[in-house]
Amino acid sequence: MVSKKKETYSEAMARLEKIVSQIDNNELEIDVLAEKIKEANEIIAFCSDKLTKADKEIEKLLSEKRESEE
Amino acid sequence: MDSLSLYELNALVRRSLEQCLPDECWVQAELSDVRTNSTGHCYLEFVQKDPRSNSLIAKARGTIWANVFRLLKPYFEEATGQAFVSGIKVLVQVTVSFHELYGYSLTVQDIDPTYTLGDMARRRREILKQLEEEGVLTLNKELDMPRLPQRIAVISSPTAAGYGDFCHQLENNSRGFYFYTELFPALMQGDRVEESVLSALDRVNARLTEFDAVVIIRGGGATSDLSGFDTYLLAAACAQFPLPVITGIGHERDDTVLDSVAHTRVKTPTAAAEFLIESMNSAADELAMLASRLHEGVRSLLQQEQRKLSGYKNRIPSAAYRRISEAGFSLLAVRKDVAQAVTSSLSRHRHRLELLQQRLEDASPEKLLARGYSITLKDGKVVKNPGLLHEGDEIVTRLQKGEVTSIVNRKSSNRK
Repeated sequence: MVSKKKETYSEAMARLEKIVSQIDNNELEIDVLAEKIKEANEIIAFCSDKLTKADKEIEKLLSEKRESEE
Repeated sequence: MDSLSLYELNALVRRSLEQCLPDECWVQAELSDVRTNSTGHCYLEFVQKDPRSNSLIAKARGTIWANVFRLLKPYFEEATGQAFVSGIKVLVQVTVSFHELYGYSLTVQDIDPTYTLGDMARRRREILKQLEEEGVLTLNKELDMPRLPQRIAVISSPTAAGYGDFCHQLENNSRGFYFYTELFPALMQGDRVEESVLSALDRVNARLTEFDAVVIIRGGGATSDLSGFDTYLLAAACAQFPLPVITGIGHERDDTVLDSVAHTRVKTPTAAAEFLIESMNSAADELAMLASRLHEGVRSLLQQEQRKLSGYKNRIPSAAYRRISEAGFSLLAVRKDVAQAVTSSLSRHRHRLELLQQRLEDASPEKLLARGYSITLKDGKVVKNPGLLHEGDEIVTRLQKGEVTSIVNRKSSNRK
């Protein structure tokens, strides 16, 4: 399993693209399909979050900024 | 010897000038020492420099009366995007006058902004050419815009309307994308634009990892003083900046040098925000497209497996039926064989039985009797030896068609 902590959006997208193309090209065994779909859904959730939510580093910046303003 | 008073001489000069010069003429010159007083009159100097040595080779005092200047200044600045300040080259229509006390001066009647525009364009071209020769002209354009430009360093004036527009536009994006913006304040007009924007860029540069892109915006204000964005130092800094720079300087005319070297150039701060949102849109669309391809792919894969499976399932009964009917046929065949075998075996046995019967029949006494043999009985027992009979014994002779009872008269021993 790829470590989640520092994965970038682009890396996550690359993983997702790989899974989708494996499915498209019929390269996945039915046995691992469920697992792969689960992984893909996790990536999609991760990426969607990236689009709409501040990540931890930004939160840190924001809190630093607030502190310095106080 | 005739002599003139100074006043007379100056008056003579004045008359000569007025006589031999046209009323108005167009003159190219550089502005210098431009000042306006409280009544709105503009006093300045026109100069000409030697292009090589840059030393002054001509100079004239000039005046623009308030009634002219009130119209001329905004007209010029609107048309050129350039403040009417020292250091720029202009083409002005002047009347030449000579005053006995104040001397030679030019009074400006009109200005042709296209000349200044041409001169500015030439200067911009020169800066761009220099950047190109130094190999840095397109460096910023060659940077990849991050897939998610979400952390934005904004260089603008905090009070500029454009900054508010930009933030408002970003925050109200329809798909709820997250953006983090931080303002690095800078002067966006006046003659300190260059150093102020450069210092803001330096401050961003110190925190490079915290940002995805830089946005330089200004907005509002009818007159535009964009000359600050046409400088070599600023252009060089922007071109070599490690983050993509987006400019939204808010003007319609030709690009400033800063626009020319920026990664992306848009017209307004709002458009800069739209550009960022659009980048996010395309990332989001890509994600949605992949997600739907994933679902499609999985569904079709499952359907395909389902079809395969039901194909097999359907083939099982037909295979089974085939086997059963094959078995049935062979069973029928066997049964037929068995019947035949049984029949023939039975007939064989019957035949043998008949033969046996025949033989039995052949061996029966009736047959012998029929052939003329007879059986002699005494007291119901078969007599085979005449020695056992005595004269006078009653014997019974059985023939084919009945019995005869006789009395023994004479007895001979074995006929031999």
